[in-house]
Amino acid sequence: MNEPGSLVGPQSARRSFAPKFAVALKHSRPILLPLALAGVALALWQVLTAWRRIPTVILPSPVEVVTLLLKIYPALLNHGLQTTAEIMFSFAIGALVGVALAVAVVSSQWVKEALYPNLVFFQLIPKIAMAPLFVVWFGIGSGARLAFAVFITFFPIFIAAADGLLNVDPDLVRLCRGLTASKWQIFAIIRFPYAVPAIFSGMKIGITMAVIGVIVGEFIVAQKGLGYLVLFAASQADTPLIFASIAVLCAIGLGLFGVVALAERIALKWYGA
Amino acid sequence: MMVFRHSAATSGMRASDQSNSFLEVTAVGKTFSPDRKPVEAIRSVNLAVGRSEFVTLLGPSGCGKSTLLLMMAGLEVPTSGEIRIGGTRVTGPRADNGIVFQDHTLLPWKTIIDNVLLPIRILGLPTAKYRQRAEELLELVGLHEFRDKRPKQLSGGMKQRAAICRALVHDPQLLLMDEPFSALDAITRDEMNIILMDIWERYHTTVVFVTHSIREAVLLSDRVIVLGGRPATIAYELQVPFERPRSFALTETSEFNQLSGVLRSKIEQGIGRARDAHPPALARGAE
Ligand SMILES: Nc1ncnc2c1ncn2[C@@H]1O[C@H](COP(=O)(O)OP(=O)(O)O)[C@@H](O)[C@H]1O
Ligand SMILES: [Mg+2]
Repeated sequence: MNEPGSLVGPQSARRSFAPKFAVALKHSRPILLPLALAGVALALWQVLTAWRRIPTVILPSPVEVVTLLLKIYPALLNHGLQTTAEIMFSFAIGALVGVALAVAVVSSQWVKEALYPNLVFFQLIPKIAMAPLFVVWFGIGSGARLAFAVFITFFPIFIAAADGLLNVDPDLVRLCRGLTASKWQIFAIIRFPYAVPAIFSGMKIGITMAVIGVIVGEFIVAQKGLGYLVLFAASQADTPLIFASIAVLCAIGLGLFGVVALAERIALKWYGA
Repeated sequence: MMVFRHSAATSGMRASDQSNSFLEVTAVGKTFSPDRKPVEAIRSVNLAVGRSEFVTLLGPSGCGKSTLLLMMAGLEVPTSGEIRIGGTRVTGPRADNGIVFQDHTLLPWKTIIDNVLLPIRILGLPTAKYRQRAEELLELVGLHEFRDKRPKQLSGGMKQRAAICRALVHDPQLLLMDEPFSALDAITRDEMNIILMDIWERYHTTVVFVTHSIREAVLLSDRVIVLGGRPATIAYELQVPFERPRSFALTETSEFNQLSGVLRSKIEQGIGRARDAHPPALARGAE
């Protein structure tokens, strides 16, 4: 690659290929490397289950799981769609409530002083433990499930949004106030746009919380959905079905996270960060 | 467009000359009381600034320069005395001020031209009408090619130049600058001083400028006000006699250095008067 002299002809074409390849490899390495590791892990899993003759009910092999997945995918899709719809709904409501409450908190000193510390404290409570309470309050139905999912989704979004809205450069706020800007103008022109990156990082946590919330909700009350399917399969000692359900759930979670991350990228591009 | 009258340099206008003063600070005091223990930052400051005059508040860090400037901007309320601008008592922010802080505070998601037009948007003025002025200002500070760039693509000095354009875009009568060049390196700072003098030559806006650099104060100003003591009062006033337009060659002259020396000793005296448990340090960069 770094031989001296000036060689011309076919050799130079070959020489330019090597660095190009190296560059391409370097750029795709952050993607290729984790994929390769995951592949190796799956292969090891496959080998281990076959070699040690581990019973399917304890740990099915990846091949068994995939086989089942392909066989019953219409049913999985059906349950999966129900779960996806509920995750999206909880996330949307949770994000809306989270941002709205954050706006309320920053718009009034009183609300801020009264509410903010309490909500931060509330953040520390293990909220999963409160899921059964929602059944007591909302009855056995989708209401309890969705309310609980919204409840745990909104927290990280609220905290992040409030942080973003409050952490605006005080000199910038001063500059705008010095130009007779109203509170509303400062909010619309400065605070809210400034909080956009923070809101998105809150939403990335929020979407994973929505998945957890809906699944836990489905564990407790549901006749449908992937959480329900996992519990049902467990009661039947159908371990491959548990794995297949979880695999679909992973795909859904990943897809939804990807959508939020993509939206974030677009927003940050606009933001110019 | 602007009312301008070159009142300063050689006319020998005195601080007490109230007849043509645009900004009047009368017996102003400021006491902060964030908790039980009140802190008296400023005591009975009297100051009159004429139209188109360039006045600098000079003093060590923590002596109340920003506080006085913020009161002029209507962003802090004096606890005693009053401030008048154009004869009207200041009770809050006025649309007729331009402000520049140490940090450029440009919005990262807006282009330079849109950042410069921010005051127009806030004041609800027609953007189309002021766009030409914004471009003219950018041209004047050498940023015209960068008008559609984002702030992060600019150097520190360029960002601060854009911030100055933003402060002037709505044609304010009073430009308030709080250590606008303190965060810049020495070479960029010199450049900025030249640019600011160019801007002043062009628009003759009344300027109140805060710095702790003696050289900057003498080079730029018609008059230097030394603040000192605890609580801060006006320790000394210096009329700067140099003709305009000025250039950097001026800083090499013996008159310039003699005036700087006078200011330095007055600042030191001010610190001496204020000597207490925490004597304020004369910030570096005073040269
Ligand atoms: N909002 C405030 N609350 C309490 N004390 C303040 C406040 N602003 C300034 N001070 C005090 O007033 C004094 C002058 O501050 P400042 O005007 O910022 O000085 P300078 O700009 O000359 O460095 C300092 O002692 C500072 O601690
Ligand atoms: Mg200051």
